[in-house]
Amino acid sequence: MKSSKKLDIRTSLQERNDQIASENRRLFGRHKLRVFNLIGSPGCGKTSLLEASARVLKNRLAVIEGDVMTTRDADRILAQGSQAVQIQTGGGCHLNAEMVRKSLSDIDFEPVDVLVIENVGNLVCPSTFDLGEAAKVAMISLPEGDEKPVKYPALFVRAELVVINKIDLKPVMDYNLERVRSDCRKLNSAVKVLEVSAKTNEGLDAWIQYLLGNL
Amino acid sequence: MHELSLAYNLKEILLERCGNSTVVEVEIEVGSLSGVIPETLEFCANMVLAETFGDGVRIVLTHKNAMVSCTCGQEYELEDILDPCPLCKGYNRVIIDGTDIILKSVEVESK
Repeated sequence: MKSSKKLDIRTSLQERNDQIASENRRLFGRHKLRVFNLIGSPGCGKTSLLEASARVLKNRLAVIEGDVMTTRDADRILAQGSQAVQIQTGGGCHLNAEMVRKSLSDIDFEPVDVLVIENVGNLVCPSTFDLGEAAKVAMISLPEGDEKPVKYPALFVRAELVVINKIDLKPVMDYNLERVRSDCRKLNSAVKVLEVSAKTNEGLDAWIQYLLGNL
Repeated sequence: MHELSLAYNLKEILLERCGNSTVVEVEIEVGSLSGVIPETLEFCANMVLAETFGDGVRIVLTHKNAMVSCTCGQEYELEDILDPCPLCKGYNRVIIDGTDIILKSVEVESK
């Protein structure tokens, strides 16, 4: 006769990813890198902000680009003088720690102080996969509307910084910045908020100082 | 669609821990801030587990509201993400539970 029993497991379904993320984090520590996981919708301006950052930081910045297809984003960063490695997920909606680990052998860490991992454009799936970063940065932009933080709380409760991009469009958009700031604080009382424009470079200095650990 | 990745993680954990038994039921606790849609996880887990363990695995999902700790000392459950602290009405809090997807238990039959 078959007998059944209940096994107490209590393990996160992210266990394996978390282990690899910890290994990545140790490696980043050995190279004294500040590492950020940049998460935002397609078209919010993640790559444009990193292009502007690359123009300032040059070889002190390295970028891992996550996209479903093409190497276009990595090419844009390389053209500005920083190292860039492209991960193509081939359909996957987020990066995981293993994809990042595999891409690290293509980076020369020697000159690098800051590594930004630009996740696949998506406000949902990337937020719960630890890649080994020191902090998650959530990025939104004015044309997306001012209710993104409360609609996608799983990202905003985990973010250390919220970047609001395309601030140059403020005069022509009905965007309630105060509500966004207030919602962000309600979701995450420790969160920092930065307003930037990757187009006009407004707020770029503060962003660079954040990356370098001076904000 | 990251629920599919999680379903494959579930399969790996089951193979590792219960590979020599017949898996009858898995109980998974889904935190309200885990970023997971329970119905999608159930759909993906059914599909992935059927490949390896056959059709018979029952998937039991339980929901867990996020728990937060307020600087005023109060700990409380978030029914809604924008609920303020019931004691001080503030939002100065840290999340202490409800961000994970946990495989709590597995019921197995010995072969």
